Amino acid sequence: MTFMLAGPAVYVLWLSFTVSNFGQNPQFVGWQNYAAILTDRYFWTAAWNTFIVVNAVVYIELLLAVLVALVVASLKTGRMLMFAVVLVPYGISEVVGVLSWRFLADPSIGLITNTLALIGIDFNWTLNPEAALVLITTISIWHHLPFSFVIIYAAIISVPNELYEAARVDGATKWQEFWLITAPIIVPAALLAIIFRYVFAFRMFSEVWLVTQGGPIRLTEVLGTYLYRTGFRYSDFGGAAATGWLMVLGSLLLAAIYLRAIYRSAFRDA
Amino acid sequence: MVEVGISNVIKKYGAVDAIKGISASIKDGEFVVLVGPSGCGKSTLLRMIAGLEEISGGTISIGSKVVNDMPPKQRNIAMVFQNYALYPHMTVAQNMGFALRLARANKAEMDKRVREVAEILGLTEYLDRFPRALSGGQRQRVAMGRAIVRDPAVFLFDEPLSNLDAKLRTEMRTEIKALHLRLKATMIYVTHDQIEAMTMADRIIVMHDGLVEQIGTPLELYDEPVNKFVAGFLGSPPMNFLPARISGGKLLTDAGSDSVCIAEMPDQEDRDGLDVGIRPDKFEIADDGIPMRVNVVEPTGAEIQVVGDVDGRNMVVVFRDRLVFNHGDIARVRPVQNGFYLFDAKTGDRLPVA
Ligand SMILES: Nc1ncnc2c1ncn2[C@@H]1O[C@H](COP(=O)(O)OP(=O)(O)OP(=O)(O)O)[C@@H](O)[C@H]1O
Ligand SMILES: [Mg+2]
Repeated sequence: MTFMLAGPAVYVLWLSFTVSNFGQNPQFVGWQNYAAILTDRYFWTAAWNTFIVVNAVVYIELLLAVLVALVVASLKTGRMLMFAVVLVPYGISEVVGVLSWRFLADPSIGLITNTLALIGIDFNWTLNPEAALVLITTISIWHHLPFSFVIIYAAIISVPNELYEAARVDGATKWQEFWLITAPIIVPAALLAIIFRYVFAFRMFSEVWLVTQGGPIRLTEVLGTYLYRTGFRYSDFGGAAATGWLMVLGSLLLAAIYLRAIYRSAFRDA
Repeated sequence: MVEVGISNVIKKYGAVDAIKGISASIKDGEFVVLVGPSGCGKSTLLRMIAGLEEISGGTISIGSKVVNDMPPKQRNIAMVFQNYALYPHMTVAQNMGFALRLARANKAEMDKRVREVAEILGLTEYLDRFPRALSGGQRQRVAMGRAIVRDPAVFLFDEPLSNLDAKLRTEMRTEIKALHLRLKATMIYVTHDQIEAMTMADRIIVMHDGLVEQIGTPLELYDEPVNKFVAGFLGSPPMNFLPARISGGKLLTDAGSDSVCIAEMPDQEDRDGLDVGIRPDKFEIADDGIPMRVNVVEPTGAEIQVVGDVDGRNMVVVFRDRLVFNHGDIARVRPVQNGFYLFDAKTGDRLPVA
């Protein structure tokens, strides 16, 4: 078991210190791959894009998940139906999802593009890298919202109704009920959702590859596509492996920060 | 002065009538217990007083104000919930001070008030703990502390002791009573435990099926129940009931093929369809008494409790004397002088005996 988990990772770690191409035996080169990546302008574009997109995805998605979960949880009837509706995107294949969005946002005939044009916004993501990143962020949120929603929803409905009643008797407004009761109680669940989403979003690939392939001129590249391009377009497996390890380190660092926060919020006993 | 007035109050949940028209007036500083079997609407009524449940009809007033449309926070009430409803993410001190914090009380005053109340309840050393690190009894105290800190005009309790073990329950009963004497606030206390009702109440409101059966002091209700329901509900072990009739100036009950005379009632006309009710401690041994088959004998030391049946109808009899019974014996018992009640078997109404 341990071997199954660790074996490929160790192999990739070793690869990251070698130069190899198809049909060639890997040659050990030390830190050379890492040095090459860290001085590659495109790596930094990809890292920066990843940073922006991931943070946007994680926090906007969390916000939406909380809002949607609050709405669904407050429904008197049809809760299960709404629950099912919210889950739908998770059941749709990534490729189908992304292609549908591409169609909706098609620069000349897309419904979204045309609607935005009506209110004077030019949303041509094929030319404008920022617009492309917005589209990518939107697709990623749309696709993964059900995941965050389920975690937050479960936390919200687990808050006993008596707590809200006690708070009302104590004089809390609806707003205070949310900020002083619901929010603090769902913090550990929210942190958990954040960790998972950071780790998933960090590896983001298909949203970008299927929308822009990282273009124009590699301006919308994220780390996932950078890695893919390095490995499979340029056949630089050592470089791809090194990118992979840098991504793992990045994820671990983030996860560690949030795990610590969860640990503190859940176990802060006197 | 804070009386609580309940006038023709009705509660409907869709087609279900949970409360079918209740009136009662609770005096300032009174400790009133709402008691009744599960599902009779006690919590619903209490929650309507608290403002947590809408009132479908009638009026509820607190002090001189009708509060039907007033949110809970304006009613000057505090409520202690069955499962305590402590905020899990707040310390004991924060839980107790929550209402003051919402009212934007001065921090120093708030701390002082919380400390005072913690002192009264013996919670001082737990002020910085979270609820999950407290025992059931301690949580219960925090829930009471949270109510007391606010110094409300009316305290509402919904079965606050039902999650505690028997010993702690008895202790807390006394403590709540002492608290009532000390605070002199109006308290309305819901329970389905008639012993709690009897021991704690100034007055008891007995509810059944969305209606009030009787209101009175514990002893009034115990001695003069207006109907079979109240008679059977209060008292432990409960009152025994046997079908009876009056014939030729005698109160008779049937046991097997025999008619047994329970008492002489020379002035009464003949009639059928009666129930006679006898409290377990109002029996004496008599050779021509009701033949009760003995099933279980439970000596408690001070008394013995004999559980048996007459024609399959369960009976419980308590004797102070150390009589000896064995399983399967037939004990012949009859009520002592004036030791029984008569009820109309159909309506359950109590009938005069004299
Ligand atoms: N939200 C609701 N919707 C429909 N019916 C309800 C609702 N709440 C309570 N009821 C019904 O109203 C009646 C009274 O309920 P209530 O909770 O007041 O009983 P209770 O006397 O407090 O019982 P217990 O001793 O079990 O707590 C019950 O028959 C219950 O089924
Ligand atoms: Mg109840």
